[in-house]
Amino acid sequence: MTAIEVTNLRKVYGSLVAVNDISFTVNEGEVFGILGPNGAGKTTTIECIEGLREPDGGEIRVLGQLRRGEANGIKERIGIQLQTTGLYPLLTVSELLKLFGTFFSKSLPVDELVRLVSLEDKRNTRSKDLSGGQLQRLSLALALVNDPELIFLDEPTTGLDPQSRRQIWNIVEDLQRKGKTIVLTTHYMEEAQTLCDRIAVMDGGKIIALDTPEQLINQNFETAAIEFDDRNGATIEMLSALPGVKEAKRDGGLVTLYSYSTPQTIEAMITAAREGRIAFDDLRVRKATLEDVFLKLTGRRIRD
Amino acid sequence: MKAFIPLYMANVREFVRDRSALFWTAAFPVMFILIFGVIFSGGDSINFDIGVVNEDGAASERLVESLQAIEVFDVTTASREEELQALRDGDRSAVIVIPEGTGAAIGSAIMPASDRQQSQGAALEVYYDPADQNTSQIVLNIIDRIVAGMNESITGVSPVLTVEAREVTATELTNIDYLLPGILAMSLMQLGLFGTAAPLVSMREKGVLRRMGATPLSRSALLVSQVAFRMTLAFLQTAILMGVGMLAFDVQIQLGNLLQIVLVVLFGASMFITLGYFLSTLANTEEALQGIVALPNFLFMFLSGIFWPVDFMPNWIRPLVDVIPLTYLGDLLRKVMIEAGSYFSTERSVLVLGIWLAVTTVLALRFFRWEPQG
Repeated sequence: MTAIEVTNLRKVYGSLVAVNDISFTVNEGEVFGILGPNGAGKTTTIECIEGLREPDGGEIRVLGQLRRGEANGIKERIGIQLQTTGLYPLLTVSELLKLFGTFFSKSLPVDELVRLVSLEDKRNTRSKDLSGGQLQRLSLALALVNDPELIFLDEPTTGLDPQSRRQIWNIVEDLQRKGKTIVLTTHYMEEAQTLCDRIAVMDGGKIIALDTPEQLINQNFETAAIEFDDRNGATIEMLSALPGVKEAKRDGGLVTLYSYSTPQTIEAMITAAREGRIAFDDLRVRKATLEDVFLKLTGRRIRD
Repeated sequence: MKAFIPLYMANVREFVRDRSALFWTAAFPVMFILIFGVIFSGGDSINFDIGVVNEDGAASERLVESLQAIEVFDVTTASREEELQALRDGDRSAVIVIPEGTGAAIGSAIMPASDRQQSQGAALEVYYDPADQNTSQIVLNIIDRIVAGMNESITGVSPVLTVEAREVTATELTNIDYLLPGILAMSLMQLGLFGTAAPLVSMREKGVLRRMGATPLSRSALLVSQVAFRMTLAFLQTAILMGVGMLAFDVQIQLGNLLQIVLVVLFGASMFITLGYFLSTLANTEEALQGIVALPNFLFMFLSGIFWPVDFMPNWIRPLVDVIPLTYLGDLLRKVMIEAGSYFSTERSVLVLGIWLAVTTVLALRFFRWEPQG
């Protein structure tokens, strides 16, 4: 079953084409990630689907219904976490959850909501006194108030410390086990790789790749990544010519070699170093990740 | 609309927990009235020193007596020069000159009440010090009533003169009576400028409006609950000011006019709350808004005649004064609360305020935004 169907979506701000003719579908029960750097068009895409922004072109179907203007019927069935959540600063966690519950025709009890996001001991804390991670979990709980079938999370862990991020991931995994469909945007590779069943990689308003994380990596790399800090400034040509190297990338001083045969390549590197042709520090070998996929597809790292 | 009460309660909680909002809404007007009250009343009520110059002799002796009979007037009689000097020295609140022929004009008793100002023989001259504006306005008001009463009695209907005089003495208007409706008008204006526009801009800036817009909550439900809450504040302020005025300063509020007072407060508060909604559309940040509302706040406060009578402002500024809504709200409140000092006709006040309400409503609806302009 299809939860979301986006066809030729387009959104323009002045002369900037924020979303440039993208199409994709999200299946029921899957966690669908939209991955990309800031300004890639992730938030615009998700807000068009949520109905918070009016697309300039294309068609969006959500839960079988065509999205057009204020469709409150659909708003009853979806849960939305915005990138930044503005709340009444002086109301407490349970007051806010109760208040938002009245906006929907059905709502979950406050007890259940605070348990879902582990805020039981913060029920009577005013929202302005919550930490960043707690506020983000409250905002997640607000998205769950109406027990939605489809949940949108816009950069749910941006700016959070690793522990808070891990907490949010656990909640998302819980929701997935309950069979909820989740669409989330992120610019954290690790987050996309950990949480998502499928990922659309966005850059410059376009979807440049869409698949499961494993497929994205395997399609692009049948290789391991050898990384080191280059002290000599070896050329890409020279590095690419090393035995076993499929592709060489340089990002400042950091060199990444994608190799079919790690032992062969490393042996050649050591030989070259002995002959003084290259000098390297901090050598490490790892599996290719989504980070590498993005670098390969766009020529840039995602945080640039 | 099941969200109406919870949204209203959310506003109440936010308000009660925000000490500065509580201060500006409740304590500030009370402080205002306490300060004014202490400065101006200095006691239960003020007695006015009135100089009476009788240039008409025995023929107008009865008029002098009736002026002396007014409790709040301490009447001294002397020559024109002496009394005017006393006025200049600050020893008189006003000097009333009864010119020659007044008694004869009264005696002839042919003057229709409506023509009293035009009839020559009976024109009393009243001198006052414009620097002492509140006092002068009250004194002029009282004298005006006496003359009106006399005119009625002269035209032979009934001896209204004494009745009128008693009514005036019973009212014992003081400066604080006069100021209280003005301070209430000012509070209602500031409820619109600071109490409505500022929180609205803040809610938009912080994305509160946007977050609630992402739910099925109808936007009109949100607006209605906010307006209802502000209206509650308006009546809370009215009750506090009236209570403090009556208990602490014995202000003579016409409680018989309670319905009219409620209607005028409702009308004025609607107008200024709507103005607040419109002004909120002009700024993206709360800081920017503070700059924008400061101008109407000061302009309205000092040019509206809520602190001093409209008459005492220079003529060139009058066109501005005459379009300021606070002028009319203050005037209407004065009329219904203390039944005095009304400068404009009720029809005119209602008309001008009505035009303001209509224009601000149209502008607010046209330009209201749920998200910052970006």
